[in-house]
Amino acid sequence: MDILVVLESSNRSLHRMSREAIVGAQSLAAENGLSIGALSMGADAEQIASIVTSYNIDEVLVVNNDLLSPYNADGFAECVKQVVEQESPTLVVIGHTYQTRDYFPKVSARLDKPFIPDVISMNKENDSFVFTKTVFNGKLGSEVVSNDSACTLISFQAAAFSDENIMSGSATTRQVDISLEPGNVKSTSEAPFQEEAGGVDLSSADLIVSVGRGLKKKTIFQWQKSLQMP
Amino acid sequence: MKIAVLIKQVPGAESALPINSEAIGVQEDQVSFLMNESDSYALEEAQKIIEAQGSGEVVAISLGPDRVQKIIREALAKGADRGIHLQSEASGLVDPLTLAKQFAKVLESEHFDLIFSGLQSDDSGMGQTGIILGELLNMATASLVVETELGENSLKVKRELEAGWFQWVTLTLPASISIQSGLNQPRYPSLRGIMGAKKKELKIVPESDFIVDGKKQSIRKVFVPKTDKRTEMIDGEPDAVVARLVEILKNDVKVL
Repeated sequence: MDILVVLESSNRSLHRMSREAIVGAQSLAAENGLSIGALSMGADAEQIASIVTSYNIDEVLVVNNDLLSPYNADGFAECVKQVVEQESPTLVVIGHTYQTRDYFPKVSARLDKPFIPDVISMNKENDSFVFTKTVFNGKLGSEVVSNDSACTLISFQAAAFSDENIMSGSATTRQVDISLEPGNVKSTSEAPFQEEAGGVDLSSADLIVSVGRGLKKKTIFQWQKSLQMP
Repeated sequence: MKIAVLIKQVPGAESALPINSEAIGVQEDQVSFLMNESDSYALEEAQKIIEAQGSGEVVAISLGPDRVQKIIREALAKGADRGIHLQSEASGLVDPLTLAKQFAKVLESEHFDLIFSGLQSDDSGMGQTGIILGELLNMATASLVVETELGENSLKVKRELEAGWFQWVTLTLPASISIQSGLNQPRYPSLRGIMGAKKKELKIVPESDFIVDGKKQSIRKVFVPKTDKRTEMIDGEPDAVVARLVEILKNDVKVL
């Protein structure tokens, strides 16, 4: 396997940015004659795998392990690490989601492989990949190269590829075993929740008045309060 | 309770960013530097925890050339107890894995209970150093933290998920977390704090003490992104106009 796409579940469906990552991998594979595998893990591993088998990739690796549900950074990082060690892909790609930010740096540390995040495009020059990402909050761009010829981890920025361009096909499924002990997991996650409504929604405000700190006396703020809408 | 806070000096939001002659960074002598925004929130959160505990210390740590001592002094003026400067000529656009290994070499013997860092820096935007450092030091880790609650031998953190969702995660100590901007209100240094900062310890660690072989990734080129202005008149029936508009928003502007 040349490229391993690490998948993410969102509401028991394939995360949009995982679809975009598959498109990126398909594009690379088509241009360079590479093979693609996809890794499905966690509570929805089987469900996600069944979706991805209809895409143009070579095979879907499924890891079922009780310690991967619910999501925890240690379990997911260890799972990716062990699968990469077993399959030896040259590139490991993933969408740059909030979950990716939480655990993929750990994969980089455990494998001692570079993780180039938030990639917006890439090309191949003289047998090595050049990745483009923004720096300085998007004010400048940069070209980044990996110094590790064996394996590089990258994440794609949202919309780097359009998920509408995903190519259909038929992939095989393979169960993969990993070794994970309860002692490997150093965190306990509670169920996700949404905040109760009631806070101030700045995005819906017609006018935002910003008042500096350090003025101390409440009386100073009277004229600003007069701007408050009923 | 010992809390390390990783702080980075980065170009301010209003600073000019002239590209250097090698085209692998910016001309630093023409840049105005500040403490990275999310790092200042991490510092405030660490100080609040120590103040609530009534004992312990906050250690402000930065890696870079001598100019970074300015933000360490700023942290000391805000109330951090001591500072550590890892002296290095490396620019801000560095390989996070190498950087974390360098921090680990110096901080391993400190046995911190907690390591706080900002979510990501405003220069390289890698968003990895604090998490990798925690991993290298065998700590529990969490990112995108928007609230903290210190327990008996644990840290409960509220993590921001996508689309307005959150999750509470309890980490065993020691732990390393990266903090999202906005979870508190960073304090300003007081005049007394500024004066007192001069007397606080600022340990300088020479680069020879944290040599790490082999950068894992390198910047090959930095450039000004191309921007082009063009106007496309969309004519035709409303359905065709809408279809073309949606296509542009999805594929060209990429906002849908």
